[in-house]
This record gives sequence, C-alpha cells and structure tokens, in this order.
Amino acid sequence: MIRARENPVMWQAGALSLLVHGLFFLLLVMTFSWKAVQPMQVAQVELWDSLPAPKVAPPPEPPKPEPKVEPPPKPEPPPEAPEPKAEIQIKPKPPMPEVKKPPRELPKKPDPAIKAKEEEKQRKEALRKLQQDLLRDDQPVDHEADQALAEAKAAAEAKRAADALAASSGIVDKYMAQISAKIKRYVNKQVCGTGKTELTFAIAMMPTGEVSGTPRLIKSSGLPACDQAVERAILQAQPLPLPPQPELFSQFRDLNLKFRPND
Amino acid sequence: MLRFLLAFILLLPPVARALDIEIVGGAAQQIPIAVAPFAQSATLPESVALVVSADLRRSGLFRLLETRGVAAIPHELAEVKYPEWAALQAQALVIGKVEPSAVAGKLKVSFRLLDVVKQTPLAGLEYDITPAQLRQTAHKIADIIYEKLTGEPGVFATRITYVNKTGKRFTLVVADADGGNPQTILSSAEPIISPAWSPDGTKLAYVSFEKKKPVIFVQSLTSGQRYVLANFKGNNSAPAWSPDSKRLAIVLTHGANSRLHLINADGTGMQPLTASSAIDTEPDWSPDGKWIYFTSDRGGSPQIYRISPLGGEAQRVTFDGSYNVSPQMSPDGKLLTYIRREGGKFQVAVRELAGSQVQILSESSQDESPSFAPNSRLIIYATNINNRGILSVVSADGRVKQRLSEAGDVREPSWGPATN
Repeated sequence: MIRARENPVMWQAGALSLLVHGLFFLLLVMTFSWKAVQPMQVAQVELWDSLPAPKVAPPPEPPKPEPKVEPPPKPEPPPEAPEPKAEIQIKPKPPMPEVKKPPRELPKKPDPAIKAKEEEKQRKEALRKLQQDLLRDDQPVDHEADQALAEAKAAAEAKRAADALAASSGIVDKYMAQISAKIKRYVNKQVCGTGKTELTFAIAMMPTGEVSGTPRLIKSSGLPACDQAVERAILQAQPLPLPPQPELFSQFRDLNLKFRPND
Repeated sequence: MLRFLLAFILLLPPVARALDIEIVGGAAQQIPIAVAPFAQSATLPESVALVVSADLRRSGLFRLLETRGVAAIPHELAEVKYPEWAALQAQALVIGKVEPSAVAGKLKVSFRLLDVVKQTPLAGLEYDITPAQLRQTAHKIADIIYEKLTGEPGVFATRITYVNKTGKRFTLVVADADGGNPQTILSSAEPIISPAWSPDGTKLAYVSFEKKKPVIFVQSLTSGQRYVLANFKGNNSAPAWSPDSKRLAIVLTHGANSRLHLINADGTGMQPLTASSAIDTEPDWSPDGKWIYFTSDRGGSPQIYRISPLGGEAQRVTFDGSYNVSPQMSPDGKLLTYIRREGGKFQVAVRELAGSQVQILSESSQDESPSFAPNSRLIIYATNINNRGILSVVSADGRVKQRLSEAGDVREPSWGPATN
C-alpha cells in the first residue's frame, strides 16, 4: 500500500477512478435495461425526433367535410398506439385546456382508410402538441416528464454512440495502418545510420489527405540527414489515405508520426 | 443527477486528440534524384551531369531518374517547375550550367541542388576553373550533393593509387576515385608494390624493385621529384606514414627476419621498433598516432597486433580464425579492416575496434590490400576475377559493391586522403 503521505493525490485519483468506472457501469446498465424492458418507448422517442416536419407543413388532409384538421379528443387514441403512448399523452394532458385550438368532435367515418389517415393525423398532432408543450416556458414545469424525456434521449444517444464506436474503431485502425504503410514506402533508412534511431513528426491533415503547413519535428533522430529524409517521405506520401466518413476525419486531423527506421 | 451527468457527457462532442501512428522500418533504399543535363558547350571534354550522375549512382545511395521525358530542362532556379519533377517521384533535383568565365580561357560552373518535395533550394555554388579541372569540379559538385542529402562527406573528389601490370611492364597510377583520369607516376620493368599516401596527399611512398632489391622511395606528386627513403641491407618494404607526416613505419630485414622500424620522413633517424624472432610486417598507424597495427606470426599463425610507437609490448588484436593479415584502420578510428583466410578463401573482413563482431564483406576468394576511403564508409581492395586483377569497392556495412577495372592486371590499391 502506498502511504498517503507519499502520494497526496491518492484519494482524488481513487475517487476519479471510481467515478469513471461508475459512469461506465451505468452506461452499460442503462443501455441494456432500456433495450430489454421498454423498447416501444425508444421507438416513441424516434417518432418524436421527426416532429419538425409536421410542424413546418401542416398536412393538407384530403377534402373531407372538415377542411381544417382539429386535434382529436384525447380520450380517443389511435388503436395501434400502445399503452406507453397513452402514458405520455396523459402526462401533458393538464396543459391541454390552454391549447389554442379547442378540441372538436371528429365525425366518425366508417371508412377504414380514412380512419387510418385520421389516426395518422392524430398521432402527428399529438407529437406536435408534445413538442409545443415542452417548448413553452410559461407552462408549469413537469419534472417527471422532463426527467423521463432526458433519460429516453440519453439512452438513445448512448446506444447510437456505442454502435458507432464499435464500427468506427475498426475503420480508424484500418486507415492508421494504411497511412503507416504509405509513408513507410518513401522512408529511406540508409541515411539514418544504424542502431536505435527514433524520431517523431507532428502533422495537421486536411480532409483531402494533404498535409496542412509543414511537418513539425517533435523529436529528432540526432541525424539531420535522417530527419530531412523522413520529412521528405511524409510529404511525398501525400495525399494520405483518410477514411471517407467525414465524422471520422476529426480523429485524423492531428497526427503524431513516430518513426523507428532501423527496426 | 447522475443520469443528467451521463447524458451531458454522452452529448459532448468527441475531444480532439492527436492520433499516434507508428512507422517501423523503411522501404525506400535510395534517394530518388534527378540530375538535369547542364547547359554546356558540346565541345567540352566532360559532361558535368554525367559525371555527377555516375558518382551518385555508384555510391549506391541514390536512384537516378530519367530526365529525357521532361519538356524544357531548367538551368536556373527561375526556370524550375517543381510539379514536373514531383511527378517523376523525385525528391531532389540538380540543375546547372557551364559558361565562359569573365577571365579569358576559364570556365564558370554553377549548380543548384533543390528539394523537390519542399520546393526549396538546398545548395548552390559557382566555380571558376580551367577546362582541365572540369571533371574534378564535377566530382566536387557530387560531393556537395552527397553530403547535403546523406549528412556524410562525399569522397568522389578523392583519388586512389594502384599498380597496373600490362605485359611485363609495371605502372604506378594515380586516378580519380571512380578510376577516371589516370596519371602515370612511375613506369618500370620491375615490380612496384605497397604505395602509401602521405596524410596531405602530396606524396607517395612506394617500394620499387628497379635496383633488383626492394627499396623504399618517396615521390612528390606535385613536382614529380623523388628520393630514396630507405635502402638498407636486406629488404626495405611496407612504408606507412604517421598521421603528422613526420615519420614512417617501415619493415627492414637487415639480413635477419622482418621487423618494424621507424624512420624520419627525410630518411634519417632509423630506429628499431619490434624485436622478435617472428615475422612482423604491414604496419599501419592509428589516426590518433598512438598505435601501430601490424601483422605478425609470433603467436604461431599470422595475426594482427598493435604496438605503441614509443615501444613496449605488442598486444594481440585478432583472435578469431587462424590467418588475419593486412590491417588498415578507418580514418575515424572506429573500424579495422583486414584480410582473413577462412576455408582456403582470402576475404575482406571489417570489425569495430571497440567490439568483436567480424563482418565478411566480400564474396570472392583472393582479396588483398584493403584500404579505407577518407569518410570511413567505403573500402577498396584488390581481387581476382578470371585470373585478372581488378579493384573492388564495398561499403563498410557490406550493402553497396562496385568494380573498377582497367586493361591489365590491377593490384595494390590505396585510397588517398580527403581533398579540401
């Protein structure tokens, strides 16, 4: 055991380690639990993400006796919307009376197609209202609703990030190897003497694969001719192979190139 | 609260960090360089670009690129279009011209070395010379290019000496390091052996049999004058200059066995150095003047020993193998080259003085007289191909090999000192 006297930051380090471990554990737990127990709620959130569309263009419904689409009465949820939807719908219900458009009775049409369309309308309207309610700041804040939404959103983001990380780390490794192989083709180790020669250059990349500015020598090999030959190799290897996904480029923007020519 | 914290962290953009990439080894063996033909009159005896290209190519460290496909060959910095040369995969470019100088009868040679990748000039010089110096100037340009790109001094402008036997005639020759421009120093009907350069490169000591016995002469390369250094009773052979040019180590027999002696450069003050009943021969001074390495069979078989010029006990240097002769120290004092016999084959070996690892550099079987270049990177030696003596040059790490051959039987090479 390290005595506390000898390592004054031991407790902070331990606490930070615990915190990070705890966060990671929670990440795993939350991802799993959401997925297993309440899949529909996740689906619900995805629907919510597509809300801006109906908000921008109010759907011109087929010419029915009512040209205007009115928000359906809440107690009449579309049949395919399961319980959780009702749950969410119920929660913002209290502010409902203050919505500008007063609920009006929708004349019941026996036509299933029209009914389906109306249900679609109703769902869209419900989601739009949901967004409106949340955006209002003069409404009484519903902590429970906020919390549930934050959880749902965080869970979805976590799932997306985990998926993306798994896929992208493979791609990143592949392109790191390609960059290394391409530069190595031009490295001339004959001017780097013998023995353990090491040198490091830092370069800034542009999305085109070209080096921005000049390579910066971080650690010299001790042989100027070797440093210059390696710098020429880096520049001659342009354009360097970069992954086509623009979101992965950020990982390649700054590169530390470590050379061991005699190994 | 923790959930909010988690959400916050996950929604943060990824923190930018430099990616570490390791590149181990290097696949390029040579520096790709283009030497554009110089602008020069067709009547001149040498093409500077051809001499420079051949020098660089012979070093084994450069890949010379074909320039004939380029539309307009530049001769000045302003005419250079870097993308053209980058398209050839060149890393460096050499351009230049030879023009009549302001002084009548002289030439002005100018050149530039350019970094094609970084698009900057690396070196450039102008020379004012006589037409006879054109080849030597081309060698000097090659030296500058070599040093700029490899960090080591070039030896293209140095000279070598060797003995050529044609028919029954022996000729002592001094030539450029590439074998070009050979000059006869001595022509004789009797053998000439063991030429040795003075440290300043102005004199050659050698052994001539013209008096029907081996006698050591010293000849000035500038005036052609020579004098007898040692003509004692018995054999006089194997002259070796001290680094300060004041003395030579020589081998005399005095009617007894071969022993090392020291003598002043003017032939006075002869004194014995070794005194054993064995054969001691082939002395070579270390660059710091503290030791003289030589061959001796005092241990029962020919091995390499060393002794201080002040006298004392000789120390044995080679312990591997049963036959090690002809020691030569590298000018930087770090390497020792010699001839080693293994399985009936005589081959050039090199060893770090500080270590014990021996590397065999040649694949032939009748090698003799190894000698280091002034940059300690190359070794010239005599070998035998199809019963004809030729000269071979090998890099001290064994990677690069070249051959120089002339009509006749070439032996006894010695590499001259660095030129300034």
